[in-house]
Amino acid sequence: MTKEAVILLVEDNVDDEMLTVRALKHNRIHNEIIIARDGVEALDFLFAQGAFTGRDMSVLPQVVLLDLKLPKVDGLEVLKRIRADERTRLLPVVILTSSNEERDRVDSYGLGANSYVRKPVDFGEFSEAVRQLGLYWLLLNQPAPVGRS
Amino acid sequence: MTLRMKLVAACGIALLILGGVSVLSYRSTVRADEDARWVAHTRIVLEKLNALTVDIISQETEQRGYVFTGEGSHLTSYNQGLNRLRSDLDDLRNLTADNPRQQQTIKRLEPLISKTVSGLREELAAHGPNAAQSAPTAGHAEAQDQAMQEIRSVISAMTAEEDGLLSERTDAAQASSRRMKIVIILGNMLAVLFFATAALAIYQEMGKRSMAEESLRQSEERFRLMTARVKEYAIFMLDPDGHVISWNEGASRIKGYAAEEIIGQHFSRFYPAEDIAKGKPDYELEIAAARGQFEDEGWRVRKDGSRFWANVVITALRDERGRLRGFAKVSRDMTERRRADEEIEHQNAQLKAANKELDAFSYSVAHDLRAPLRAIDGFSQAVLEDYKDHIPEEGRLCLERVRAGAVRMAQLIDDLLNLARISRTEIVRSNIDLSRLAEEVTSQLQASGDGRQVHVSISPGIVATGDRSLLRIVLENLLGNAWKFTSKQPVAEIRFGVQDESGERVLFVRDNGHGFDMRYADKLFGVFQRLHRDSEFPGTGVGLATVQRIIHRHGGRIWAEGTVGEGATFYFVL
Repeated sequence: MTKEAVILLVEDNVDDEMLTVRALKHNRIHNEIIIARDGVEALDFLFAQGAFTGRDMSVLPQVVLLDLKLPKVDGLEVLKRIRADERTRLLPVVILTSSNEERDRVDSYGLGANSYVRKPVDFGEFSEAVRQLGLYWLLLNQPAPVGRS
Repeated sequence: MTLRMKLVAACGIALLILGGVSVLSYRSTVRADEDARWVAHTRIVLEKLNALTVDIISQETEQRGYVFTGEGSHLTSYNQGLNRLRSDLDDLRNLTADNPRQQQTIKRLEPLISKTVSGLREELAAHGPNAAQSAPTAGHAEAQDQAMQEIRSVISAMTAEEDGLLSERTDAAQASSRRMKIVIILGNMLAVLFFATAALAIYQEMGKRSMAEESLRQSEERFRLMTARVKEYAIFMLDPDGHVISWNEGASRIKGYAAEEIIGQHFSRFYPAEDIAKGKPDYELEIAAARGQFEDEGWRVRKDGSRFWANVVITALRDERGRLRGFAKVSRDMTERRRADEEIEHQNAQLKAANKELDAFSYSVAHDLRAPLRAIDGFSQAVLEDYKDHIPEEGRLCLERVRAGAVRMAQLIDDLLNLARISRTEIVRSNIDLSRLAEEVTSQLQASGDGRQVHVSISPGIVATGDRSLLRIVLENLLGNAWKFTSKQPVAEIRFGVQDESGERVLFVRDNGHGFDMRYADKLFGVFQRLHRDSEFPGTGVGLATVQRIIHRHGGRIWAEGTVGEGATFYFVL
């Protein structure tokens, strides 16, 4: 079960993608990371459609790390569709964004985001944030909880 | 009592008097006729009495003539005389039927006459030609004379009675005629008096009316003079049907018609064709007549056909009895103002668009400028970690500087965005306990972990009206600065208080820190303006600019005093 727990990272910026993956690895989180580069790709993966047709729908990511500013379909719209669908309604979604606009925070929580994290510029802080997210959302499902730090 | 009622009363009374006098004089005439009739009647009775006397004497004469002469003609006259006597008596009886006393007297007369006549007949029988020739006896003659005497006395009594009646009736007729004359004269005088009073009242009223008309004329003249020269407003009057009856200079200027060419014309020509088709001009008059006034803004047409945007007030004019006399119309050319309004609206729309653009720009800055900084920092760190064995010490220091630069730039971006946000966010005012807010900020600073002991004194109960989150930013910056600039002092002291300066409540944050040179005081509040090297006191130079903007948005002021090495005080008024 644990090995199948995947992370869906929705991120259009390759730099941020690499840094996020690095931070996860850095913190010894070795779960499979699915990368979606825009909102459409994210929705296709989640609902096994488009390029992901035929994918086993029963396998859902343990957590979705969702950027807000995305090409095609933006993060808030993706969140809305996740929450609107019975299959993904309870999926943990963490907004991981550069924005600290009040408007974005209000909208995200309003649409049912589980968490809102602003990406720090300082990699040390960024890495720490990713570590905490990983621990919290991935290990919460473990039979032997490690607990939050 | 109104004048009309007074006049009606006066004329009514005069007419009543005249009517009464007429009735009285008619009745008096009727009475005079009657009196005259009675006078004539009395005369007839008197004549009859006279005739009766004559007839009796004549009977006697005829009888004597026959006795002495024996001529048949005397006998015939005598016999005819008998009949006349009877008819005389009958006539008298009839004539005096209205007078019981005379009737009584006649009853006495009848036997006397019968006796005389029978005496005469006896004498005739005894001495007539057909009888024995003898002289009448002396005794007989005496009796006859006596009877005649009696008859004469009765007749004269009757005559006296009738004479009395005659004079009585004549007097009565004269008296009533005199009274009537007085009544007629007095009545006519009274009537004339009342008519004269009414005439006087009418005359006076006419005087008053002409005065009122004069004053109305003057007031109209004043109004005309007052409005005539007004150029900013078209002021003109309409009759109840909407025809122009007066026109001022403003009307000529705004609408383009001269007074002489527009007076008498219907005012609907000032409206655009589509409004006329909709019946708008008449509708406006109806509303004005019903409600007293009508106000409108809309397009109107000048003489040359060009349109102008007008503010129009139509006021119904009514006289003291409430009858509609016409309308006063005041129009103002609002074209320029409307154009200005439209311009403002247009600029507002542009401003809104610009704000929206700025919003999008800020959002984009927040998002997109930070991502490369993260990459710079993150990959520098990656290099430092992954290749730490291959990088000399100097290279490591350089990469650390790269990282610090990226972090600092991120801070600058955040500060700038905050500054921009402060200008955009709406101020939500409430009563704020600034003392408590300052304490919260101070505990945050103490918890920030630099382990310093700073003596902070906060005056209690400083309350102000303002936006809580913005005022918090003010205190965070001012107290944060004080905290920062006292970092090199052995004993750091910060004070937040309030003082009265010529009736104004001035709040201040004072520290005994590094202070500043007053020569550069004007640079304190500029964006990115710094009075210290970053190595001495780190900062972005945006904090005080933010503070000033917040204070200004609250309608307040902020200024600072300082001495190098002794500290600084920031004063502000909200």
